[in-house]
Amino acid sequence: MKIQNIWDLNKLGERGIQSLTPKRPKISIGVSTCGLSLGADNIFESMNREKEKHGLKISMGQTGCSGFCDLEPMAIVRMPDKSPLLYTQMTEKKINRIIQDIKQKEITKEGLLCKIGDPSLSNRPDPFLNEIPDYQEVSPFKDQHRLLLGNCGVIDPLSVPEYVAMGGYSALYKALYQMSPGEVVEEVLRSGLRGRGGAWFPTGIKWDMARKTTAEEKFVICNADEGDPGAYKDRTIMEGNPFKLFEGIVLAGYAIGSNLGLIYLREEYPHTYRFLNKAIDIAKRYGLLGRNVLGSNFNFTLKVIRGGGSYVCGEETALMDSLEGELGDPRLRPPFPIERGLWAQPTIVNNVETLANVPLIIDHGGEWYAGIGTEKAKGTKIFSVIGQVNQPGLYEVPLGTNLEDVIFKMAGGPLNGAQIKAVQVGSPFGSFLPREKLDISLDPDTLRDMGSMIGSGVIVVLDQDTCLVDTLLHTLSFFVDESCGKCAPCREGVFQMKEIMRDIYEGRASMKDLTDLIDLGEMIKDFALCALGGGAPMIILNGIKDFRKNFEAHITTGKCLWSS
Amino acid sequence: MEKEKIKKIVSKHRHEKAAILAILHEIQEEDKQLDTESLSYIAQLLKIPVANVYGLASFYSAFSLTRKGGTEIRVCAGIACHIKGSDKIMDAMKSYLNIEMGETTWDEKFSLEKVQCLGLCAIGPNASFNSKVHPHLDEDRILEILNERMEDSE
Repeated sequence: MKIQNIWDLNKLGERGIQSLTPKRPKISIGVSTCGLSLGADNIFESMNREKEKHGLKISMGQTGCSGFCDLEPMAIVRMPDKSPLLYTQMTEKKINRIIQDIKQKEITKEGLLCKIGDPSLSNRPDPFLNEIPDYQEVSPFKDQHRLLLGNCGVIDPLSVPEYVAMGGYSALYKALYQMSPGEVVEEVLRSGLRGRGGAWFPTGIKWDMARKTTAEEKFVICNADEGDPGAYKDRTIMEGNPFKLFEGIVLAGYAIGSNLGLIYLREEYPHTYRFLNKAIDIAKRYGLLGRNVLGSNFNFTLKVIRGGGSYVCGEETALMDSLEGELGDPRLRPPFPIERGLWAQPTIVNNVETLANVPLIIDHGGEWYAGIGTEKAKGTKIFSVIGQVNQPGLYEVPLGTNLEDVIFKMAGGPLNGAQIKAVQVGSPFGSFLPREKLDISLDPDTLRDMGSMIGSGVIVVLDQDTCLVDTLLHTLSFFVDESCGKCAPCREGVFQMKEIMRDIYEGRASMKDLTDLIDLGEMIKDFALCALGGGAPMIILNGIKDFRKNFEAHITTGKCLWSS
Repeated sequence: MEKEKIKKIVSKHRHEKAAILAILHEIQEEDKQLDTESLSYIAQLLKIPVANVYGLASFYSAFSLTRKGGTEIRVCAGIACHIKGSDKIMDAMKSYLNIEMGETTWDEKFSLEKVQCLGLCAIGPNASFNSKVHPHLDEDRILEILNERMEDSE
C-alpha cells in the first residue's frame, strides 16, 4: 500500500498501535547483529517449537538492539491490556519459562528488567504491574534522554506501521505538504544541530549553502562508514530504527533539492547491509521512497553502497572518491563538497546520527531542539562507553552532561570497583584524560579547549592495571594501518612514531627517544594533509604530558609498573 | 574466476566504472579471491587501466589477491576487544591453524585476518566466522569453536 495522504498515514499508525498492543500475547526477540551472535535465532526456533507443542496462540516478532548488547538477546513480551515487559539475556530455557507462564496467565520474574510504560500505548495499566519498575527508572536506561534510541529495541525495525505509530513520518509529511525547502533549512539552522560524525560542523549552514547552489543534480550522502573503533551507534540506529534514518535522509534531499541519496556503509557490517536493503524495499512499497513520496510531487531514490574496509573513507572527500570507484584519497579543500562534491556536483555528507535527528527537529521545531544541550552544542549525543566499565553500552544524554556522571552513575563505574587510570573521550583521536580531569562537560567545545576532541562519542575507560603505553601503541598501529599513504608526514612520520613507541613499550628506548617522539609528533601535527595524519600524534603528545611516568617506567625499568 | 561469470557481474552493473567496488565485492564473495586474470578482464570490460583495478584491489582491505579460506575468520582488533585480550585470541588461532594473520591454511579451509572493529564492543573479544559472530571469546572458547568447525569441514 502506497501512502498518498494524511488519512493513509493515520490509518497506518492505527495498524502500528494494534501491533504494539496486540490482542493475543506477542514475544519479540532482539535480532540485531549482537542478538544474533548471542543466539537469538536458536531462541526463535525454540519458541516456535514450544508454542506449537502447547498449542498456544502467541505471535512472534522481532526488534533491534537498545545499545546494550551484553543484555541481548532481549525479549519484549506484550500481553493484552498490559505494558510491554522487557526481558534480558534470554536463553531457550528462560523463554520456555515465559511461554509456560503466559499459559498460566502469570508473569515470569526471572530476567525481567522493566516494563515499557508508554502511556499512549497502555491506557489500562494493570495494578499488578505497579511493582515492576518502568524503563525510565532502571539502569542502564535511567537518566538517559533517548530521543534517537528510544524506539531501538522496542519496535519492530522493519515495521513501517509501528514506526508511524511512534510518530514516524509526521515530520516528512509536514515538510512535504506544509513547508518550503527553505523553511526546512531554517528550522535546522534554528535547532543549532552540528554534525555528529566528529567534525561538529553546523548542519544547517551546510544545507543552506547546498540549497542555494544551483546545479543540474545534487546529492545527499549518508556517512555510515562508522570506522572509529569502539563506535556502534550508527549500526544500532540502522538496525534498530532504519526508517527514522530514511526519513532524515529524504528530508535532507527535499531541503537541498536532491533526488538521490546514497548510504555509504562500512564493509564490516554485512548483516546491516542486507538489513538496510530489506528496509529500503519496504519503504518503497509504502511510497516512502521512490516516485511521489507520501503522495507529493517529490521523488527520492535511496541506495546503500558498501565500502571496502578503509578507515580513511570515513573522511568525506575520500568517501566520495570511493563512491566514484577510486582509491580513498582525501582531497584538498576547498572546493568543499557543497560546491564540488560527488561527480563534481553539489553534495552534502552527513553522519547517520545527524540525519536521524532531523525528523525530531521538524516535528517539534528548531527552538524546542535548541533547548536541549549547552549554549553552543544542542541536542542529545549518543556516547559509546566501553572498556573496563560495569555496564558498557550506548548512553544517549544531552550534550553538556558531566563525564563522571556518565561513567559512574550511568555505566556503573569501573569493573570490580577498580581505580580508573585514564578515560579516552573521542577515541581514537581524543586524548586520554587522567582521573582528576573527568569532572567535565561532555560537549565538543569543552574537549577542544582541553586540546582534545569529542569525535564521534567513543568513551574508553581504562583501569589502573591496564598498560597505557600498550593502549597508545595499539591506537598508533591502527593509524599506521589506515594511513592512505598520500602524504609523507602521515605515511612515514606516524610509522616512525609507532616504531619509537614500540621501543619504549619493550624497554629498548632512551629518554632521548622520548624527546624525538615529541618533536616528530609536533612536526606531523602541522604538516599532515588531512585530519587522520594531523590527529594521530595528538594522543601521544597529550599522553606524554599527562602520563609521563608511564612512559618513563617503560624506558627505565623495561616494563609497565602498573600492568599486571 | 571464469570470464563468463565476470562478464555477467559487470553487465549487471551496466559496465559502470563507479560500481567497481560492488563488482569486486561480488567476485571476491564468490571466488574468495581477486586473481590477476580476473583483474585484467574487469579492466578490459570497464575500459580502464589494469593498474587502477589492481590499485583498488590492493588498497581496500576487504579484497584479497590470494585465495581466502572456506571459513574466513576475522578477529576484532578494536580498542575494546584489545583491552579485553584480543591479542591472545589471535595468538591462539595462529598456533591452532599454524598460519599467520593474513594467511590461509594449506587446505584452503580457513583464513585468518584482523579487522579494525566489528562494532560489538560491549560483548568482546569478538571474531566472525564468515557471517557468524562469536562474542565473549577467551582462549578455551576459541579452541572449542575451531574444533567444532574442523569437524564440520571434515
